[in-house]
Amino acid sequence: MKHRHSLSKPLSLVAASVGFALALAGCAGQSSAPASGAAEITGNTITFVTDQGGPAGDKYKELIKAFESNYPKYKVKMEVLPGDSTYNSVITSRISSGKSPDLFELINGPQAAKPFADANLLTDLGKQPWVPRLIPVVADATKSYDGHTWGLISQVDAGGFFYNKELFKKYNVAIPKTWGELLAAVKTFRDAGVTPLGVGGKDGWPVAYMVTSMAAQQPTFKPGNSEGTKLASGSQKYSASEGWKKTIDDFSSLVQAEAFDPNASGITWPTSATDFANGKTAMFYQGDFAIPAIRQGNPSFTVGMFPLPYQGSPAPVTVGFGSELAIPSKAPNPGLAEKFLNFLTTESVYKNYLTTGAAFSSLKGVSGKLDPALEQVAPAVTTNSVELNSGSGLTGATAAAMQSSLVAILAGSGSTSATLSSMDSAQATQ
Amino acid sequence: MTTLSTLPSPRRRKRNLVNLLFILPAAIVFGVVVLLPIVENLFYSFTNWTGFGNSFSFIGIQNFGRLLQDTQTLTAFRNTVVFTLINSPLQIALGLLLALTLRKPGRFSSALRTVIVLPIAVSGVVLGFLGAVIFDPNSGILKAVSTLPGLGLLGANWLGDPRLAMSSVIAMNLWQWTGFTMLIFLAGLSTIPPELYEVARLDGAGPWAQFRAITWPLLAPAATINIVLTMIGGLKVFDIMYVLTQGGPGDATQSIVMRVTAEGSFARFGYAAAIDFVLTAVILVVSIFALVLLRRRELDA
Repeated sequence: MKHRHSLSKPLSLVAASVGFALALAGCAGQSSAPASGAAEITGNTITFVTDQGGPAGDKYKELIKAFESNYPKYKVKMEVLPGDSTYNSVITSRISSGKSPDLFELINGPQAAKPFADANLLTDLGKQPWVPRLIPVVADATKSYDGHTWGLISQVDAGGFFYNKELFKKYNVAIPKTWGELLAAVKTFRDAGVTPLGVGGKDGWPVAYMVTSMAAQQPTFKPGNSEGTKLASGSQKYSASEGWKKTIDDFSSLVQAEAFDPNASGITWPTSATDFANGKTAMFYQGDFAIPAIRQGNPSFTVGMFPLPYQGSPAPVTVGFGSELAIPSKAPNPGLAEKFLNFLTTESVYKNYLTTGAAFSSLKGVSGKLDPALEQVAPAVTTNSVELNSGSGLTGATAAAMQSSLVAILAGSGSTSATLSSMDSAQATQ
Repeated sequence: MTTLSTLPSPRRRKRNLVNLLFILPAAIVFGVVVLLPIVENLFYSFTNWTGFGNSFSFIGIQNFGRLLQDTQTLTAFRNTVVFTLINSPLQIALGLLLALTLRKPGRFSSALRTVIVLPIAVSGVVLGFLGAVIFDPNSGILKAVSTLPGLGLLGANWLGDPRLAMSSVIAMNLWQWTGFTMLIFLAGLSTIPPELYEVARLDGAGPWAQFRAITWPLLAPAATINIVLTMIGGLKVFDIMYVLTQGGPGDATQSIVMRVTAEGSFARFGYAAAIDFVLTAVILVVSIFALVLLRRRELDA
């Protein structure tokens, strides 16, 4: 099973950009948290809080079992909290009230670290032995907020177009490598009576996920660009951004080309996954976390994934980080929490961890067993990838405003100018 | 002017003290659970608190100024008012109609009353699931029914079309809460002495005349409660919109409470508190206005 469940995704996408974007804007407060090298072990037990229960939490259960077997005198107590809007409040309250966990899952990873770091609630893990082993895109993201390492990104989520191999073969459609080829494929499927692209418009976030992935490929939004920084800080309006205008215009052109189901704005994400698995749609833009939902709809489905063919050549895979493992600044036993993270990053242990979660690796030279659907894009995750929110200047509020307006476009009542204007309005209230 | 005769006697003073002691527990609970959060909310609405840690700065009325520029929040206010103005009269009219129809005791009316009241017990999650089963544009119940002759219109994209989404939400809300309105009217109807109707009939009054002269005036207290409750419920609407549409498509069904929770999740608790305080003030003004106006009508009745 892979990372986040569907209900946490909207929050994930919406909240994801807050810390990151403000960091780009230079609004970040400087933390006084000391960098932790090897903290002292002050007890035999640690508490680990996560939002991943059920099958999604299996990778942690296996890991804890292996850790306790390797170090019989130590215990890891895993607590699962609901991954909804109350999660951060509960964690914050516990840290502030002296009931801090020793380790917790920071939902949305480095992009959500800002409020925790600004309130001095996290330990800087910059001197941990696994830091130099992070793959470049993860290393950059890890330090993206304020240069500190506020957690361990334990896996990478990869996004692209899932495609129905049988339908592609039946209608003699080659994997699109450019935006033009994607539009041509859309026309072929539409003319054949097959809905070209599936999307769960009712849930909003799948639409925003696709458009944010498109924006990430705009040449003006390369990581570290000045426009993204200006957009995030409010010194430039989204309506004056050629990158955003082109991205939303191109998304609108897909809608106008009838690439989506005419009722897409009323279809939920789980239904869209089932529709795709049952051959009602030919392509489905999603992250690898959608595989369980797709497989559940049709276990024998022959599915592959190709990168979003938009501005990049060759098209890069979109990567994102659902969470990172962080040690609170007031953890009762930070030394043992560090030992646990070091154990996780041991090559053989990490390999098992990735295989249990069917996840992409965040460490150099280690990989687990992936779902066959991901084999095509696996090499590109380390060699040709672009981070979802790296440079397009989205903030939590502007991402939410964009999401609503994009669904309006999908429903036939929105426009590029209305979307950009709504994003400007949300930014003005920052 | 205070005279010896108007001063409270020791006995009366003791009785007042006993009364006060009886009120005190409820007053403490009310103060802690209702008043304190309102005051705290007002306090944070003048700050830039993120909701993390204890550090924040006072920023005056900036959050309230922002609110006026925020198109999403203004849209949410408009949606909430539209929802309230359409839902409240419909819920009251339907509740009254059902109460009048089912007021007479009997097995059938008793069973029907139970069926109508049952949705009140349905949780928001179940409601969302039911909504999906009913309204799914490709595989919902309405879509299936729309294949029957003459019912094609039912196959619309009920939750995904901005022109229809609000009416779908209102329909589900009416389904869930009309039973509650009916119950209050039934309680009101049970207090009307049957003799009044007998006298009216002897005087030759028909059903409509009886309703106008007896039922409606004497139902005034029940109507007051229903009007105030449906308006407050409408202005605070959240769960039904969240589970059915998540505020979409676009912002077509985004309510003001949804905006508050969204802003909170963006680590903008100060701004969220400001929006919430404005909502609280609106509810307070509307409630007081409605109560004063309707109490006057009750007295006239």
